[in-house]
Amino acid sequence: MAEPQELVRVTGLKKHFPLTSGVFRRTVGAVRAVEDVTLSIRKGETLALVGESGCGKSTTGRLLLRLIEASAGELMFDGQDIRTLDRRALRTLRRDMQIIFQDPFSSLNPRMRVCELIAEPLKFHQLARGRAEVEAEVDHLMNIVGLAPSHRDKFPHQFSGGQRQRIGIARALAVRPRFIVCDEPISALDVSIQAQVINLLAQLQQDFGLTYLFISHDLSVVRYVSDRVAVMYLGRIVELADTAALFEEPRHPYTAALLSSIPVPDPSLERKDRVILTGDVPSPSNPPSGCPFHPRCVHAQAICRQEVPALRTVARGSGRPGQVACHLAEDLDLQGIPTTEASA
Amino acid sequence: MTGPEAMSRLAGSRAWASFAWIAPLNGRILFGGGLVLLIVFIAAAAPLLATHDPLRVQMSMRLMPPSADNWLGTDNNGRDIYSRIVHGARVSVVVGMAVVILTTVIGTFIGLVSGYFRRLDGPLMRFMDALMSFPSILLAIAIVAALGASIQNVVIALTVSFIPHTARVVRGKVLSVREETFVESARAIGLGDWLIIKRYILPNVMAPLMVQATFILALAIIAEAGLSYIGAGTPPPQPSWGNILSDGRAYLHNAWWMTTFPGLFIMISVLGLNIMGDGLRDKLDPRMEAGR
Repeated sequence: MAEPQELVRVTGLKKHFPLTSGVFRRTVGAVRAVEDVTLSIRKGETLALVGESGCGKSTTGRLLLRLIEASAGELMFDGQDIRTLDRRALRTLRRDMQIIFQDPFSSLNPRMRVCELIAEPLKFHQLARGRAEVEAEVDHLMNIVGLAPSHRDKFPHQFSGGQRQRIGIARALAVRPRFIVCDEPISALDVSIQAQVINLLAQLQQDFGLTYLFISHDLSVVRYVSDRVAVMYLGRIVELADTAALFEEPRHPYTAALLSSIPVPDPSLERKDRVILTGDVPSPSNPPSGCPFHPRCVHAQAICRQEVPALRTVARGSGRPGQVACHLAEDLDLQGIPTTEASA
Repeated sequence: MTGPEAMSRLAGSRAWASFAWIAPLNGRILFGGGLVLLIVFIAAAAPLLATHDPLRVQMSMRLMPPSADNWLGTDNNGRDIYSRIVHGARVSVVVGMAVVILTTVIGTFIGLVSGYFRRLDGPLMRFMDALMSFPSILLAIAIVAALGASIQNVVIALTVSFIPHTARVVRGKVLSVREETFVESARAIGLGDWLIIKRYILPNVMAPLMVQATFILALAIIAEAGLSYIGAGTPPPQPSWGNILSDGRAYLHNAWWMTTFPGLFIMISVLGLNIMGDGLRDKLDPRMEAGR
């Protein structure tokens, strides 16, 4: 098969959190956390979802897993519409999709021992029967993620951040999922530990054929781990392309601004014309008309204030495909980062 | 084998791991807990500790001051105060324990359900607020007045009036625990609501619950004595600290021992419970946990 198979397909996904006020909880508005997200994730790839805090990255990840119910849109997983699944079917689905959380200090129940934490999904989904089998599987999982099985009786607070994240990974891996949402899995860790966890995730992807949705705001990490990148701004995807194409030839002014904010370790390579964004991200409860980025965009034209640009396929100089939601994508000359520059 | 070494070996072996928490108990828990155990022991061994029949009236022995025979003196009916106090401890302990167990079980359930299932929160908590808006002793008097004075009805009355306090404490803690990421991780695995409540919410609300339980026990002992004092509690002639005090009220000027000693016992048990509760609160504070 020429085209790699799709594992996840999201169409027109929306999530509006209602805002209420007064004694009677009248709905006075909505936080449009996710506003029309369409993307697909191919089997075995890592799709990175990047953007500023509050742009809806994490909400999107949780919507995919149905940890939060979507307001509108279609969610397909391996050809199955998962928004219509009942409670039972959803429970079975949990074996296929898992999540790794950002903060390893709050994502593990402090009252459970490591062995209980890792054994819980095994027992719940009856993936291992009998005490001996469960214990063997727990030891196996601890080995896989690089934890000594002798720590099995300890509590989470007796571990470092990196070790805790490994426990979280083992717990996610226990059900042998095919798809894992990594919700900023390393941003709460010490820099010295980040690389270890990233390499572990890469190794696991290779060994188990995992598909990742890698949510992050750290572009240097994204560049290192992902096959494709989706850039989100105010609940919308503004650009989606292969990692190299996106970094070298950004087609959306917001992507260019993000790229220009990546610190360069070599001062002699200091970029001259940095794009510095002014102002704040608009409130998702009161988004601007037209293109959500126009109030901060230096290239904004009249059309940007009126019409929401659709995500469309735009050719790049090198011919690599990608999708951009910008009226002016063809006309702008945006600066990327050459591949020769240092990466993570 | 030295102390710490023994302790770590104790904590290290699996069979003993569940008892390892004894090791770092603080002084207040030990002191307060000691006083409480003393009272419980007195209640349990009352027939052995009593020197006289607590109900035997001897008019020739009326209002005798403390002596070698009647250690804490006698009352207006010539009954031995010491023996009555010792037997009265049974009432206090039994009522206190029954109230704590019932209040904790029912209050915890209401708090868990109310905090976890947000739709039930409004109705349940408004009902609890309504109960709470009465001063608890007044509510208890009203209930006893309606049901009649008996130990069983005192337990019912106090349980009803203390449930809202426990329910509120539990609900508040549930509200913060349910937002923790680890609850979401349980959902990601597929656990249902009741399993999440059992494995994730309940264990994490235990700490404030235990502290609350010790304070409820102290409140229940005071309230039982209060109800008995005004005649709405343990029916005479059965001795209870409250009605011994009540009997002595008329003789405050000429028989100080009738009121002083039951009062002292109430004070010691409540003090012990409060000191223990304070100690527990410090011990179980989740912020201190990392240093455990």
